Amino acid sequence: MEPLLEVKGLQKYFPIRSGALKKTTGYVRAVDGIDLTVYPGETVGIVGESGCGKSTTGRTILRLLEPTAGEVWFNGKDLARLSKEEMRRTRKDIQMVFQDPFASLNPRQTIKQILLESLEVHGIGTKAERLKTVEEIIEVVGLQKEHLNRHPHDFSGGQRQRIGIARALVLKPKLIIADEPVSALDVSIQSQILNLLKDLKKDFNLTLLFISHDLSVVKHICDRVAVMYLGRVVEIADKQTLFKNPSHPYTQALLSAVPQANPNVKRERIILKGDLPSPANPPSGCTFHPRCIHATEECKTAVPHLQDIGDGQLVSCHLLKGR
Amino acid sequence: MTAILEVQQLKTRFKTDHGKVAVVDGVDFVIRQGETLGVVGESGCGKSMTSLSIMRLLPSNGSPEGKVLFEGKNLLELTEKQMQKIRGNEIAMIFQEPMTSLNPLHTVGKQIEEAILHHRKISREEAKKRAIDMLKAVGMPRADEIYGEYPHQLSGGMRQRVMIAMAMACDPKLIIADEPTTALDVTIQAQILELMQELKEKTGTSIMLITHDLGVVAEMCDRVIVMYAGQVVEEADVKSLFEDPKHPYTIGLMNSIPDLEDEREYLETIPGSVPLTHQMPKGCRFAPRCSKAMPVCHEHPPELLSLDDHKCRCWLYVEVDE
Repeated sequence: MEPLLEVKGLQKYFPIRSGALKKTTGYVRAVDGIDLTVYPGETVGIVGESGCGKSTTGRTILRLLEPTAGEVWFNGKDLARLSKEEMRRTRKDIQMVFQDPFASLNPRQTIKQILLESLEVHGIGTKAERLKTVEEIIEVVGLQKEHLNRHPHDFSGGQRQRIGIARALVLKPKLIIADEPVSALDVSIQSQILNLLKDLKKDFNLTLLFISHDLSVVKHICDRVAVMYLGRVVEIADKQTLFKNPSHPYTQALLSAVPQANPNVKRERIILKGDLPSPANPPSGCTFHPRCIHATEECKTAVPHLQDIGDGQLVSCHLLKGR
Repeated sequence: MTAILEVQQLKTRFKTDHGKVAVVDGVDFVIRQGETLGVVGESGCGKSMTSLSIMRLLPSNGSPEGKVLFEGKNLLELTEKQMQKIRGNEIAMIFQEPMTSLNPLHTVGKQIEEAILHHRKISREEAKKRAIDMLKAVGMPRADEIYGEYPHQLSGGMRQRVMIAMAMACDPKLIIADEPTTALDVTIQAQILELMQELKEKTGTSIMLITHDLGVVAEMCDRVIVMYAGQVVEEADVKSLFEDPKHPYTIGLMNSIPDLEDEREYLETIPGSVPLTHQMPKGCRFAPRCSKAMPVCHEHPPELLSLDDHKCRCWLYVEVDE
């Protein structure tokens, strides 16, 4: 199968400027060479802790941030090389759902205006057709036509996130990038939204890039999962493999750290020492080595690369060499 | 075990545009010596307001009624001056966001020292030594240097360690921790939870742990109360609660969280959302969202019943006399 999205060596460096002349004195390497492939109809998750570059990856793919280097192949085009106007037109096919449903909807617009706007911008259909599409989509996400004339403040957090999803869906995109779409919601509401996304995946054959810090949520919704640490993908595999047989020491620690809602389960927990290093000054070699319990001399000097250890499980760790 | 804190019929009302609304409505619970009590619930269930009522730190438009007995004294009847002797000394608090609860203009060492000097008659040198000892106790590397650093120089996990050091500095009998790890990443959360367990075992402090995360509850708590719309709807020891949840809300909550062992295709959901404080349903507050609601549920509010090892506020468990 042809991949829908192919990210190759994507980098996003933010310059650090200091002094009176604002000279660039260094770079924050938020995304430092990412390869990622997404096939049509699948949901790929990107997990990692704050500052690992997962959101920047999502935004750079959509060119809400300009990439520093790398290629983003979508539909036979390298998005990184498109002109602004071409990119604007391509965004019809890639839509985004944001984390905070309170900040991502214009409070002065009605829901109808919010949903119609993207159709108008892309010049889709006649006025009557656009209205019909909007009326259909609002019911798809579990709200009613009557809601269309209301403003965002009339809705609860869960309902607003439904509106955010409707806005992404209204253009019938080929790919949706969802950045922490359920993190701001209470658990009982979170499950409503996750179920909605699952239904939409089936009904619309959606391809979803799902960015989240919550491993349980990612496990629930994704088909394949990439684990990021300090701007790089350290492990990528399909869900079953990754959660049954996590192979990178960071993935293992991350999984073991999730508290389980079962007082009878006492799992072996790997407690990582220290904090995430600064992406402005990442450690040499494998960037995880200062916190890794298995680190060897090689890990301090040589940068590991993703290698296939079987079943399409890619891991970037020196320990797994030759397997 | 003796009770260290006894909350009886706590009712906290706020003056709002909609008149007086009760955000905490008749809450009863007990925390025993050396015990960790979990308080679980979703946003707006009144769990934080309960803790602020206990500490008498409510915003000015809120007023608590009922009894909060701490070692037999009713905290709600103390003068502000007496209360200051208890806050930070006998009952300490750890908040969710350490950045907003630390003063950015003072070094972390000075802030811990200040708390000690306020409650203990000791010299500045001794207080400094105590502050550094506390920083070491919470696992800070380079405690001597960190003493002189400002909050912005520390990471989120380190700041939360400082908050814990400050809370523990006067050997409190009770620590109220309001979502202490919610703002932290999972690997850092694991560090902080381990630290809290360790310190609790060492000092025998009681902890009231407020959280929305059932995983954290399962790991940390001895007993749990579940709150919904300002009321306690279920109370049980942690094992009974997870093995045999009784209240439909607790059951719904547990079934709606995805977990790592989970292979379900769809999660269960609780339809609708939490009622607004000024529009509480007449009967059971959960009835409009409850799949098991009966006519009586919509008419009469249920009492908190004592079942074997549970307390539960639900009509399903009331035997009807015929």
